[in-house]
Amino acid sequence: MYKLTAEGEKYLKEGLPEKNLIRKLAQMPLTMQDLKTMAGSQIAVSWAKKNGWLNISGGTLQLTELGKKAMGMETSIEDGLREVGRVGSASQPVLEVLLGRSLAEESREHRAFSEKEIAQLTPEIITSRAWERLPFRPYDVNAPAPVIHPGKKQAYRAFLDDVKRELTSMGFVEMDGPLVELSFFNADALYMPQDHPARGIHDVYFVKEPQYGTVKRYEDLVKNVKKAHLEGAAGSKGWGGQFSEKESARLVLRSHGTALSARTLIAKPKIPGAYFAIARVFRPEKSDVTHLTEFNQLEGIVLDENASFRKLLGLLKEFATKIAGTDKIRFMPAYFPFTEPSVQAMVWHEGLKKWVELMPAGMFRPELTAPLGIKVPVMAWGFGVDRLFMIKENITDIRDLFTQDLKLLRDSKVI
Amino acid sequence: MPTIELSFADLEKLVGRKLPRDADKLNEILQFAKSEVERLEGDDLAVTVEDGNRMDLWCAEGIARELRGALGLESGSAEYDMANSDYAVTVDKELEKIRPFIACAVVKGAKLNDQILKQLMQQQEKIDGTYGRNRKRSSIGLYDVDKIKWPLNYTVTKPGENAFVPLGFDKKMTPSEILENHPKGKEYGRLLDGCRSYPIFKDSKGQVLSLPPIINSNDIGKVTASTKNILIEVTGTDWRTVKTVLLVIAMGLADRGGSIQKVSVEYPYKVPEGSMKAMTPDAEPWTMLIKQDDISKLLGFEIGATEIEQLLKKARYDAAAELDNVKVFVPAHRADVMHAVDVIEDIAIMKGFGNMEPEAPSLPTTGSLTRLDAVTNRIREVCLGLGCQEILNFTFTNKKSLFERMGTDETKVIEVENPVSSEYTCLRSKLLPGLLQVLSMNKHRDFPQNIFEVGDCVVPDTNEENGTRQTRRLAILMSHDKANLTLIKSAVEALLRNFGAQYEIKKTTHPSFIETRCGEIKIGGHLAGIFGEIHPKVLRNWDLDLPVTAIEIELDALKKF
Repeated sequence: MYKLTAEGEKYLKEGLPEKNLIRKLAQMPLTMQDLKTMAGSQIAVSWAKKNGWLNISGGTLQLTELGKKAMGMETSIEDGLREVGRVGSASQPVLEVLLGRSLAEESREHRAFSEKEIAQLTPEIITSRAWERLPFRPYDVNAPAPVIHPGKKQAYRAFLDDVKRELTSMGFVEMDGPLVELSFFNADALYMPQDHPARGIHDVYFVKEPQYGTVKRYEDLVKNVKKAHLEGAAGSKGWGGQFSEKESARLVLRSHGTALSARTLIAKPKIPGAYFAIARVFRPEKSDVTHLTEFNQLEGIVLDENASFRKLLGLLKEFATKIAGTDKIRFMPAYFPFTEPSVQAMVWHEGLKKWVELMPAGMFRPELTAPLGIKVPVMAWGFGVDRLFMIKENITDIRDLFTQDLKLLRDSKVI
Repeated sequence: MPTIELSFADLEKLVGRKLPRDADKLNEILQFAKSEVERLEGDDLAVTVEDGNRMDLWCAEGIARELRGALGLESGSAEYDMANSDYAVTVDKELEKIRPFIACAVVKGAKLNDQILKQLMQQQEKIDGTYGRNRKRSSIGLYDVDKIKWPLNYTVTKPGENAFVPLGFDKKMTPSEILENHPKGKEYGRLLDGCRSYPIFKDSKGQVLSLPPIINSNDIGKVTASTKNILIEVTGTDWRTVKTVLLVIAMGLADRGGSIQKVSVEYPYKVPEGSMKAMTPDAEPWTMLIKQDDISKLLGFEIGATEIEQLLKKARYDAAAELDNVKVFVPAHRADVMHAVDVIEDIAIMKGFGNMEPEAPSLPTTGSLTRLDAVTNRIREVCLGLGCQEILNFTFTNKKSLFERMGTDETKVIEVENPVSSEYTCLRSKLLPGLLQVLSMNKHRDFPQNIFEVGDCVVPDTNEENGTRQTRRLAILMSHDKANLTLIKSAVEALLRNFGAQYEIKKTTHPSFIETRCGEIKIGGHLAGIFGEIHPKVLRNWDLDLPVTAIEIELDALKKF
């Protein structure tokens, strides 16, 4: 939209200076000397010359044939001034001249209608009911429009949001815990012996500085856990071997979500109680198509007097339906240091035409729960939610889950 | 979990029955031995044993033993005859502080061939590595009995004495030379770090059998397909482990047609059972009394005494129901059994997980997100409303991104001791570097590029039990040819207004931002964040050409969670 500048308004009212000049010239002869006293004469002369309306010879102005003709006609510029004044626009070449001469400028007001048709709909048009008598200028719906990218959730995170919604609707309470963890919670409290191979540098990242935190707050718990490791607890023989409190305070990057469950178990959980977390975890592995050194685990526990292995299978089946979207599930024996009995739930992958391991789970060992003061059975699982998303979205490179490619992110579908 | 290479025909022979060639069907059977087919091509069969604690299953003989029970070919515990003998080993008392335990067995007449021998080496390697904790807790040695002069001495040597020819070499080396020059010496020498004397295993002629746990002699300590009679020796730091490993190896060789003879080991100190003489291998089972109710309760269905007994026998336990209990005889080689739950799992496996109807649990609980997550979600929505694309970055990063590229001085961050790539060496303390990295990867994509992330950052803090302060932060970047301070300030104020925060904004300076175009955000008097135009010097560090404006706020300052 355009409007006239103050100068433009003045010319619209008083006429263009070049037009006024030739009119005057038709009445009396003029020299360049005479013009010096006339305001705006320079602009007038230069435009009249450019239009071929006059010649200057020996300091005297002479009207040309073209100039004589022009006196009786409305020029395109005059027409343009009127158009802009009335509808806020004019033809492109004229508009360019008007803008160039600062006779018109861009306007925020939408006065875009001519007497003939309506272009941009404006409050004025709407309220004046001009649309009752004027046609709308046809617009081309096939004309290209600029591409815009809406603010959008990261696709994988949106999926995690959905998973969280599903779990909370099933009655699970979200857990929280630190990324940098005491070995006590990352391993000891989970009944992983201190010389267990999965506690070594190939499975856990160790913090350089500070190397140690403190387990002082958990003195009694550490004592219980130590006893369970060395001599056993709840009727177990224990691991034997060695246990050092210093090792319990060793700081690591959380290597599995079960550390969160350990923290929940010591924090007076509700019984019956159901807890979950989507936990960021770290393993010293090189990233490739199927591995990440930092990834997510969906961790969860149910504490209940009546918890049982069969109920755990029922829970896994429900997860398969609600989260993985399949009811083709089967259960295989498995081993995890924290659980007994343990199970690996496999689901049928239609795309790959094979069974894929999806949900490792089990009943927490009594040697784990008893030292932490838990007297009821606990159903537990910790599965690769990354993999679940890949299966669901047919993603073959796990690194795409954390992609930094804006095209991928912008192109991702929300439905 | 260990993957082991087997021969399909050999496994069939050991089981005593044809096995399906189809991997899925084979898995149906192998699951009873917690195993799964990894590869089946011709006679080559690789299986993964899905149990890091049941080293008795890490060999064809062990898997077959389990399957014979599961398939009903045998029932109850596997019995092995173990004859007493005059074979004896004496132990030097100096070993109590170095490598205190040894257990030995003699197996005569086992029928070996190259393929079985290969499996035996594989079994030895897997057990030494994982279960034996890289030979620290236990390590296995095999010898040719016919080259030995009994009795044997498990004794000590000075590092420079008792030179012998180690396996794979042709000249004599002293123990200290072995530690220095032999590949196994270099690999396992650390187990003898700080010892002035080393363990050595010798016969009564003075011949060296081995330098435990490093290397055997190239002569007596070499077993080939034609070796008729084998001595198995296991040394280590944990008596239970040493005895169990010995038993498992001996049982395997017995399954190959060998007959086991016991060896008496005389200690100058007491072994954990309290005696000073041990007859090994020791296959005496121990008993466990389990309440039948506990079994039903843990598994979640009623299971009667008869069925429990049957399933236990399939799982190769001897068992007898007694009133409300079941008395279980746990075979000595089942080192994994520590608690009744281990036995109950075996009952469940033999029952078949597929034969248990999953029971949908009813959770009488009300679910909820953490307050932090709930607030985070609200904040993410406002950012989306500002037209920003959400980003999900790794927490892991490196100091070059965090500091050098941002033009700031290094501050303390949480670094790891054992990084596997130079890209991931420490955890992020800020979100902005990760977002700038996103822009630097997308120079050729459409602008404007408005992006945000809400995520966790950590910095060292010795006041915390985990030595770390973890905060949830929000960062936004807006980049296009007209991006400037006004634009980002509008965004900052829109955010803070919508968060309901009492805030003030003050002029500040920061090396990542243009000096006069940078503001700090204070919430409740505390510094909570920063915003402004990123300095062109920083933009060049990230190879960026268009103006970038940025916000980073610590959400904890909002005190809303």
